[in-house]
Amino acid sequence: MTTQDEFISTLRAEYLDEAAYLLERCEETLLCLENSTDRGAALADLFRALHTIKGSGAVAGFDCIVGLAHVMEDLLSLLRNYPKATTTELVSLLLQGLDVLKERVKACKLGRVEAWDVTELKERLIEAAEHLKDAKAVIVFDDGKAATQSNAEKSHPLESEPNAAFGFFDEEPAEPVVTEKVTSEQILIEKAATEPVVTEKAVLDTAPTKESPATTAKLGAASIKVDAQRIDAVLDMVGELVIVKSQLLTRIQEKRLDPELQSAVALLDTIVRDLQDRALSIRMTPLKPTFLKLQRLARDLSLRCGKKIEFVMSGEDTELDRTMVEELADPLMHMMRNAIDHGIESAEKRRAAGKNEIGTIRILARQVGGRVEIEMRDDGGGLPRDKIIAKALEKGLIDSPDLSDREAFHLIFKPGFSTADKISDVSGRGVGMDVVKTNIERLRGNVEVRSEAGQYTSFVLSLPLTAAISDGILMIVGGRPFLVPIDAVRDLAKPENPLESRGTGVGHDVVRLKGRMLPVVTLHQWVDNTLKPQSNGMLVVVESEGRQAALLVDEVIGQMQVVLKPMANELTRCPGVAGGAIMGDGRVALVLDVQGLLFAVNGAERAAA
Amino acid sequence: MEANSAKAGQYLTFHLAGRPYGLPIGSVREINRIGDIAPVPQAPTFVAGVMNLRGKVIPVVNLRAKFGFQDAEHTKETCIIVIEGLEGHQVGVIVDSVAGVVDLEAGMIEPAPSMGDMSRMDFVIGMGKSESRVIILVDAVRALAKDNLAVRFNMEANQAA
Repeated sequence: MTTQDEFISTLRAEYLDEAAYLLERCEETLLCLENSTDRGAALADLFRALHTIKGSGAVAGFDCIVGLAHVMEDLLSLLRNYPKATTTELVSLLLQGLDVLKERVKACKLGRVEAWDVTELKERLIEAAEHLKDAKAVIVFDDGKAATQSNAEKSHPLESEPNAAFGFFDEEPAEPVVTEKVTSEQILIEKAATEPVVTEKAVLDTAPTKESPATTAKLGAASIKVDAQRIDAVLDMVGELVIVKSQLLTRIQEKRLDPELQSAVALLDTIVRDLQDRALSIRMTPLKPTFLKLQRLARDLSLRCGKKIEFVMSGEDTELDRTMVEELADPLMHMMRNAIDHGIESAEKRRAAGKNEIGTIRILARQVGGRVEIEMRDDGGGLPRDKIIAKALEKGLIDSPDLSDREAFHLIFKPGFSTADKISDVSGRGVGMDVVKTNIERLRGNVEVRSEAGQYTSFVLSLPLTAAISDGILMIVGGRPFLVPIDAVRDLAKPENPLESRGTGVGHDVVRLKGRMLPVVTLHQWVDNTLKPQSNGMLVVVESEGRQAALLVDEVIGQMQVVLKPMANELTRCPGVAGGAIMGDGRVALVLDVQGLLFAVNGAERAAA
Repeated sequence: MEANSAKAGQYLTFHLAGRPYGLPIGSVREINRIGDIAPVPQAPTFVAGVMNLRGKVIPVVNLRAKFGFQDAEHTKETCIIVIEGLEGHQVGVIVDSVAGVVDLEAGMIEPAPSMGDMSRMDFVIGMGKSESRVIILVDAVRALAKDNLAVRFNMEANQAA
């Protein structure tokens, strides 16, 4: 390649990155537009962004992008001078334009530059602009109701029965429920410039964010753009450094060497821990973009379903490991679809129940201890407990309907519960709640469901701050090292009394500890049923989901920090094992997943009973 | 399903229960002496456990068990061949010994013999003739696909000529 070619190639690559970034900011701005009090500024920002995308695109030689950007720019140029003319339909149209541009930029980045026909979209944008130019004056009604009531009557959205229990029983994918498109006569009416916008039809409202997003569209002066791969490579090396340091420390402590060496090693330990913390913080990224995606989805779905939805988010600045945030997007979007399709009831049903016509979906994130909790809560009809149990019995997933509320609700996560071959157009793949749960568990998180009939349904995801580094207690079972995460450990004890046996099998023994009876899990049997525990073993009391158990091991060595390595492979996937960790001597120690272990053991116990 | 035929090329030969086998060299990443293997609870019998491969934790398969042979003590010849399968996942397979690399031309390869339960044998992709030995050519990646459970088969009857 000549230097000229190289220059152009770099220019094009940089343009695509910049365009992608600008398009994301545009979408953010557009979504907040409907409720923003300073629409003029936001629209001006949007105009400038599209103008840049157009201009730089021309220089970089992306005529396809330029064409569409130009048409959008024209529309925005009109709109910024007449913010009152912003209708929901226009916002939807612009969002569509942004989507198309985003797809095109992505395709160009991958080198897929096939022919691309956006004539229809462009025509609609041009038409909208013409319409604006002609109308000039927006039809403003004194009585907001008159204008939109006729339209509300025109569209008769079909609704899926909220009692269909989140579509878990559906044999076919749910049809999009509104067959009539929102017409351009539906206009947002403003009574006064400072009053929030009031509409009569299904529109997505956002809780006003603290600062106007339009003004924060500028890049912070203190941030820089770095290629993600480079960062990941550096962070991987920090991970390896942590392991080597751990190995070094173990060796040094075994031999009592000279004090200077000891103190140098102690200093090394401190420095590496600090580096580790900082490296982790680089990987952290706020949940806000994900929540905004959810907001966008909620808006689109609410229009399609003809249901009025209010989307409230909080804690969007809470941060999580970057890779985890990426993995969370699909499950969250799936849960939102369920909440809107099946959770929130129709306006009539809500009115009849004395509820506010506008359904609320609340998503919030917060850091609790060493974990992040994300809750999605809708004030819809709740999960139909009886129907769920009936269906599970029918499918042979459970034997008896004798279940607690929690057990009943958690049935929705069982593989095979939903027979629908749902093709979610969010992800384009078949998705079910069991896949959602598996995805969350892959991140070493878990999901809890709570619901009250007629009132609400709430999903709470609990995730570790990062999937990478774990603090654990090292134990020996049958001569092999095992680790249990420290936040699951409650107590360590020598069994005072002999174990009382209630039968054979892994979870059948019990022990009395500090006045309480705890089930004993003889890890030896779980690992290999020919292994026998030593007579002078130790008990490690662990807790998960409110239940405690005592793990019987041969020896407890101490606490250590390890990098958790996933064992994501069909051959070695094991409930109860979160992954592997490399020890100081190079051996692999299995890291326990307490929740999975107790669940598996209880399952075996129930089966044997 | 596409034809299970071995292509001409280089094969890494190894021994298992006295029989010679060959793996397409393209799927082989490296060969190691056998080291520490951590058993995984509740794993299928042919899964020996996991091992540390320069900081990565990879599964290790007991190929003897997988092919239906009896277990045997590890000797100093016992090796682990690290193969790279679908999606870049690496798996180690324990073999009795590794022989070397042979170059097989098309004329030296014959199609896999037909056996009773063909569906279970789809990882045997041919028979290679080299230096008057018959090498059973296997597609290790397919052999370790989750559908292929441990299978007992008797090759002697079909190793005629």
